[in-house]
Parts: sequence; structure tokens; C-alpha cells
Amino acid sequence: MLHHPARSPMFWVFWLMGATLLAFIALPLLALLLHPTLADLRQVAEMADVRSAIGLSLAAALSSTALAAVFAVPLAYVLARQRFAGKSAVEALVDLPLTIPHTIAGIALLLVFSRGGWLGAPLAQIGLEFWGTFAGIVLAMSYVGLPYAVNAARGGFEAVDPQIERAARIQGGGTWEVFRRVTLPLARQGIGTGLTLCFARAIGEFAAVVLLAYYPMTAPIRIYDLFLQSGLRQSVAASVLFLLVVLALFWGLRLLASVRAPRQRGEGASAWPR
Amino acid sequence: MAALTPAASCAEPMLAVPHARSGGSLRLDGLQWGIGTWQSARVDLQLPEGQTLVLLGHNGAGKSALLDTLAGFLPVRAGRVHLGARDLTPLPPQARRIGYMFQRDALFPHWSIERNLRFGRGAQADLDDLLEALELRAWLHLRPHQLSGGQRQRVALARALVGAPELLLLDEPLAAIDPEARPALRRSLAALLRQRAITTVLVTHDPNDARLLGDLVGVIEAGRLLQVAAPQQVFDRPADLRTARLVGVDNLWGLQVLSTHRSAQQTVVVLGLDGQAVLDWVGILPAGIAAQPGDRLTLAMRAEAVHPCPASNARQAHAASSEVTLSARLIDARCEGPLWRLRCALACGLEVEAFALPALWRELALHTGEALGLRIRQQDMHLLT
Amino acid sequence: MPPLKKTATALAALALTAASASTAAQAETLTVFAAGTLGKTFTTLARGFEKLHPGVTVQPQFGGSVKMVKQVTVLHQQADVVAVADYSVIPKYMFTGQEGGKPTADWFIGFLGNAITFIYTPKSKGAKDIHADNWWKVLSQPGVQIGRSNPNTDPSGYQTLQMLDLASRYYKQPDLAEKILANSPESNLRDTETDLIAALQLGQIDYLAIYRSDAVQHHMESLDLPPQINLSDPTYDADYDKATAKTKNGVLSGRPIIYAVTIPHTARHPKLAQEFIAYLLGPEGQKVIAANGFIALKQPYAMHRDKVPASLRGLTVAWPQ
Repeated sequence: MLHHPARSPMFWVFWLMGATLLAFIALPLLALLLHPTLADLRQVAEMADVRSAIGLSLAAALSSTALAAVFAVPLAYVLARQRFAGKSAVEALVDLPLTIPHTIAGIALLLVFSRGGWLGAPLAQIGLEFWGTFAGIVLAMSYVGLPYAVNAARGGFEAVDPQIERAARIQGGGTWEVFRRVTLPLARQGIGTGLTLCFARAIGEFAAVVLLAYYPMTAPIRIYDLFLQSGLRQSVAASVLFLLVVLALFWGLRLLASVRAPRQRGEGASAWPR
Repeated sequence: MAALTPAASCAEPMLAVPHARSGGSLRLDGLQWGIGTWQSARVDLQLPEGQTLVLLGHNGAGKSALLDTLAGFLPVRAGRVHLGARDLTPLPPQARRIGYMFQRDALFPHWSIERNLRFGRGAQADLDDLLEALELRAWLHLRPHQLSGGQRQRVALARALVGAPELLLLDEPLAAIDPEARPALRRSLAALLRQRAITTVLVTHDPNDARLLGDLVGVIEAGRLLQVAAPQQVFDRPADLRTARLVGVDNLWGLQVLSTHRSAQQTVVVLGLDGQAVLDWVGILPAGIAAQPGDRLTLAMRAEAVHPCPASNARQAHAASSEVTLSARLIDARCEGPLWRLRCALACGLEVEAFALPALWRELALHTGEALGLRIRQQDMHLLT
Repeated sequence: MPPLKKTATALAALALTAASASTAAQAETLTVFAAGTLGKTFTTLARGFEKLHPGVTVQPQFGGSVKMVKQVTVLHQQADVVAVADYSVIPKYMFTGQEGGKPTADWFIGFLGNAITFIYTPKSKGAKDIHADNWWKVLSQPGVQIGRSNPNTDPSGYQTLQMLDLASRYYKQPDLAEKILANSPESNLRDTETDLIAALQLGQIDYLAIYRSDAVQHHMESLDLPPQINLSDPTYDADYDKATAKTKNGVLSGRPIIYAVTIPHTARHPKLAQEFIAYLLGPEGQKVIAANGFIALKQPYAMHRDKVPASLRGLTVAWPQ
């Protein structure tokens, strides 16, 4: 029979702290999940505008995550690899949407993208409008979600040893080929985390979105609207429905990521200092 | 690199069928390289086709930076790099047809060994030959993290060799190997390089690598090439004190010239310490050394050139001017594998390192503190400034 | 003292100070929930009240009338004074128990009136030629963007619909409301009209249905709509009643815009609340109200006057039937 040496006091203290944190997260969620009855849930699930609001939130958040993949990942790579004058200014700029209050972010976006705004005016000429449209929702979601994508993807790229990229180059790989076949796969975890965080942040955004688009209603706005019209019961039921959909999605994504991640050496063995 | 197998290393057949020479000669034309604010001196160097240049120097001497510049990872600060007829200087790394074995293998962790070899240049290459020579066939489906450090180095070497590169760059290839395993592997690597006959630049801080692997040895310090010559030349006749230190000369004595005079075609220099004579050096003065009385010079001799003998030999006056015999006292004796390394002290206080074959050691039967003689040939003693 | 003891002592001192500070604060803080359009007015009144009552802090919170009321009835937040933009919101949500709860109020006092109008900027389409007689023609033009608040959740939202219904009758243009609402699609709706002021200033919308008080407070141009349609005058009550607005909460008939105030049962400082309302109804309060573009009522009306606290009853007359 295996006898593990006794675990150190530090292990137990850390587990206690951790358990407290987990309880702090879990309890309000539990309260929320247990509040509505199954009948309540079925009732809101049958409301077409609740379903369409959830669908709209998912679609818009996915779109802004796709935008992040296209725009945030290259910037993250540049920040991870290049040194250049003004780099810290760029880093501060990337973090700016994290610090701006969401309402102000929404107003700022309006200034640029409304009918008479700097970009809104010319874009309206080609038929792209942001007021009360899907594009507007995606715009607001992207603004608040992109910093997460950039920073996490950057971490992913920084974890890739530049020597490996150089090895690929000297073996005959061109810059694009090396990025696609060597760098991206190795940075996959960081990029995945970045995109997941971006999605999570985007789908929950309220204040910035509502300034650009109230109708069509995303889930958070619809839930708020339900609260104003009907009350706590229905709005909580709709919240729980929304939450269940989003949680299921994230769980699925995490499972997908862990299945395909390259297994690291030394897994399973506990690294806890004895 | 656990044995490129004992079988392979002593197999004659491999040496009998050398591959056709590949690549071209490497020419560095006033090449200057650098990293950040550090910059090397301008270097001119010619390495004939198919030969191996070993760059010997301490860490931080700029050796790896040179390899990176040859590979195209660092921009050339001045001068040009030619490989055969091609000017490599404007080319990106992927166009240079260079194989690079990195110090920390730098294998692709997300791919199997087979895919590691098949990337880029290796896509269409014939791998059989390399797989046999380096015994990698069993690992083709494994991932790098499943191999040990030494095993990964083998794969890294194979990857560098795959697809017939014209120039091979090796950065401290034996650094990841256990010291006990190094001699065997060094021999294997030497055989492999000889067989493939690719123009090779190998960087190391271990003089043994230089001795065994290099056709040409370049001693480099702080971005400056101190001496480029055949290994024997560099080791036996280091150009200056710094080189002597780098190539591992054990006995470097700082002495003073007491007097000089000419005898036949040669100069006799009486060297001493604190006014006391230590020995007479006889030979032709190297260029640049005037040996005026009062000058300070370094006398360099390798430990293997100092031969222990019974103490009585030193007392006998030897007229043979081709040898010097000194009286010394034994401080310490250690067995280093096939040889005994002796540390002795002369009467004037200078420490001497010497080697003795086991048979001689048994014969001498010395204990610490006992007297012995040290015999050195004049041609093994070098004057350095 | 050894470090651990020092930390413990410091923490204890901090806790005590915090506790005493909070209890001190509790004794002197008046929480006021008010409709968004009362923002400027009530903030001014709050400061004035604090000056008269040293040691008292007034903490006003503003938002949509329905939202503020629900914060009390459903979220059980604590408020001492609740003021709404449409008096009917109080009986609807507070006189009866919400979601199985108890009634939270049983009287209210109507204390000022307002008019519904449209505000605009010089940039707005048609702004140069618009006046009181042709406004509905200008607003019906295609390409004009009109903003308003959500009639399902906000009084000014359904009041706008009622006003347009009245206008259709008044100008004898049966499709007036329809044409104007065509320029105000869902994308131009917001939870409360004040959320759209930024959009108006940025040129995203040209006209915004809002209260006249907001026009005065934000120094913006507004239309002078006739009192027969702008819900400002209680004498036209019968006419207002003919107009309707279809909402998710049912079909709502027009009423004059009267803002109302009450003290919830759960108020922690009812005496202080009464003093605040008295201040509001008094000469000081009326001055601030008028300065902010509201219509001062000749006399405050009380619903369920017998239930109104004695100190306030004398200031009011019974709600006209």
C-alpha cells in the first residue's frame, strides 16, 4: 500500500483559502440557479423574444470573438516579439478599454460611429450603420473584449521559445509558414484563453451595448427589460436560462481545449513541495 | 546521444564510403557581427569545402552570435558571408540551405520526431541513412518530451543534417551530454562529420572538442579571432597568452629575462624569478619577442609535455641542450582516468602540472612532499609575451 | 508589540471606527429614489435641505420611474422618499403587494406638472423651419430620426404615444401618429428618454420626445405644443382620457402629467422624509421646481389624503375626482 508523507500545513492553508474563494463564487450562483422553478424556466424558454435575445447575444459575442481572432492575435504577436519605440504606450492603449467605465466607452463609440460621427458618416454611405444594429452590438462588445484577447494571446506567444521559430526558419520554412505551422499551434493555449475571455466579456456587456443598440435586444438588456416589466421572478428565470446556456458553452470549450492540448511531461505527478 | 552506438563508432565500412562533398567553401569577408550594443572585430576567414572549423572560446566571446549571423538570424554589421559561389549576406534564413544544431535542441515539441525531420528541407529527403547512422528509427513516433536530453540532441543533429545542407552549424553539440559520455560521442560525431564532409562550423568552449573535431581551430575572445590554424598548431604553439589560456595550457609561468646570448643558430634566454635563475630556454625567438634583460615573459608548456622522472636525474648535470630537467617536490597526485596528474612545486615556488602514465607512476612510487625530477623538451616550451 | 499583535490591534481599531462611522451615517442619511427627469431639481433641493439640517446627508438616486419603484417593491431596497414622473406608477406598483410581497405605500402627493414635447438641435433636420403649427409635418418627413423611450417600461414612452394620439385628433390628421412613429423605429428606443440626449447631441437622432423640463434644463430648443395635446393641463383631463397607448402592460389612457411623491412603509427615517417633502412643497422647493422648467401646481394634490402624515396633510388638497 502506498503511504504518502503527511501534507504540509501550507497545503491545508492554501486549500482553505481556495475553498473560501470557490464558495464565494458558487453561493450567489447557487442562489440564482435555485430561485426559479422548472415551470418558471419553461415559461421564459417559451418566450420567443427571450430565446431570440439569447441567440442574438451568442451570435454577436461569437462575431466579436472572430474579430478578435483576426485583429488581436497579430498585434499580440508583434507585442510578444518586437521591441520598438513607444511600445509601452501601445500596451497602455490596449489596456485602456479595461479602465474606461462602460457607459463612457459606449458614448465614445457613439461619437465615432453614430450617423454624424467621424467614421459613422462615411460608413453610412456604404450602408454600414451601427445605431440599433447587429454591427453596433458587435462593435460595443469588441471594444470591451479585445484587450483580454490581446493580453492572453500575447502570453501564449511569449511562451513559445523564439529558438524554435528560428529552428523552423533555418530548416527552410518561410515566415508565414513558420507562424502558421509552428508558432500558432504552440501558442494555442494562450490564444484560446484570450478568445474565451473575450467572448465571456463580450457576451455579458450591458452599458456599452445599450448606448448603441437597445433594440434588437441582447440577453442582458432583455433580462433588464423583463425586470422592469414583469418583475424579479421572470427576469431571474431568464437570467438562469441565459447563464445555463453560456456555462454549457464554456464547459464545452474547455473540454475541447483540454482534449487537443499537447500533454505536458510530468503530468499526474504531484509537484507539491514536501 | 547515448552511443551513436559502439558498433557504429568503430565500424570501418562507414569511413570507407565518404559522401560526395556538399556545400562549398565558407569565406568571411571582413565580417563584423554584433548583438545589441556589443560588436565584434572585423574577421577574415577561409574554410575549405567539406572541412570543419571549431571556434573555441569562453562563454560570452561572441561565438553563438557569429553562428546566428551566419544563419541569418542576426543582421551583418559589416562585411559579407560567402558560401561557395553564393553571397549569403542578403538572403533570409530559409534560403541559405544551412543546417543548425542548437545548443538546447529547439525541436518542435508539438510534433513527432518524424515530423520534426520532415519539416522544410526534410520534406522530400531520404531519411533512412540518417536514421541508421543516429539510430533514430525506434523514436519516429515519439514526441521530443518523451526523450532524454542527450537523445533529443541526436534528433537535433539529424534535423540539421537532413536535406543535404551546404553548411552545418553546431552550437556546443556536446553540452547537453554527461561528461563521462562525451569522449565516446565526440569520436562518433567526428566520424560522422568526416563521412558526410559538409562544410561545418562548430562552436565550443571545450578544448577537447577542438582537438578531435576540427580541421581548423579558431580561437575567439570577445569577438576577436586570436588564432586560426590546424589544431596541433593552436594547441602546441598558442599565439599569445590569452590563446594559451583558452586552449588549456596548464603551465603558464610569468618569468623575468635575466640574460640572453646567442649560441650557434639559436638564442639562449636565462629565465628567472625574483633574480634567481629557474631555467635556460634555448630556441629561435618568436617574432615580436625581443627578450631583453629585465623583460617579463610567459613560459608556456602543456602538462603532457612535462615528464616526471626520479629525483636523481635532476641532480645529474645534463648537457643535452634539447632538454631541461628541473628539481621539484610533489604536492598532489590524482588519477585522471588513463593518466596520473601530478602537481609539483619548484624550489622557487612555481607550480607545475605534469602527467605520468600508470606504469611510470608505480615505478616512481612517490609520496606527497618527496622530491622528483621534471624533464621538458625545449621544443615544448614556448615563450609568450 | 510583536507584529501579529500589532496587526490584530490595528484591524480591531479599524473595525470599530467603521462601525461607528456607519451607525453615525445611518442616523443622518436620507435616501431618495426619484425619476431621472427630477435629477437636477432634486440634487439642488437635496443640497438646500442639507444646509437647513446640519448633520443630515441626502442621497438621491435617479433612474426610470418604474425601475426606482421596483427597487423598493421587488429588490427590497431601502428608500425614505420615492418620487415618480407619472403619479399612476405609485398605485400600480406600491399600493398592492408585488410578487407575493406586501403593499409598500398607501398615499401619494402630486407636486408638479410637466408637458411632453420634442427637443431638437440646430443640426436637426427641418430645424430651421419648424414651429408650433407645422411640427407634425416636419416630423413626418422621411429621413427624420425621432427618439423616444420604451412605452413598456417608462412613463414618458407611453405619454408620447398618448400625445401623438391626441395630436391626430387635434390636427384632424388620422395618420399623423403612424407617420411620425414610422420615423421612430425600435432602434431609436431606449429605456428612458434621458439616455437619448447624447444621441440627439451627436446627430444620430433629430428629435427627441421628452419633457419640457428637460428642454429647459439642457438648454435645448423645444416645440410649443398646444396644452390640449401635451398632457400638461389637468383641465383637459377628459380629452386626455380619450387618447390611448398600447403597451405590454395593457392599453393605457392619457392622463395629465403629474409627478408624485410618497414615503414607503419601509422608510427608515419617516420623520425626516416628511420634513423633506414639506421642504419640497414649500416656497423654496417651488422656486427650484419652476426654475427647472416644471409646471408648478396651484396646490399639491393628495391621493388617500386621510392616510397622508399629519404634518403634510395641511399642505395638500384632496385629489380631484
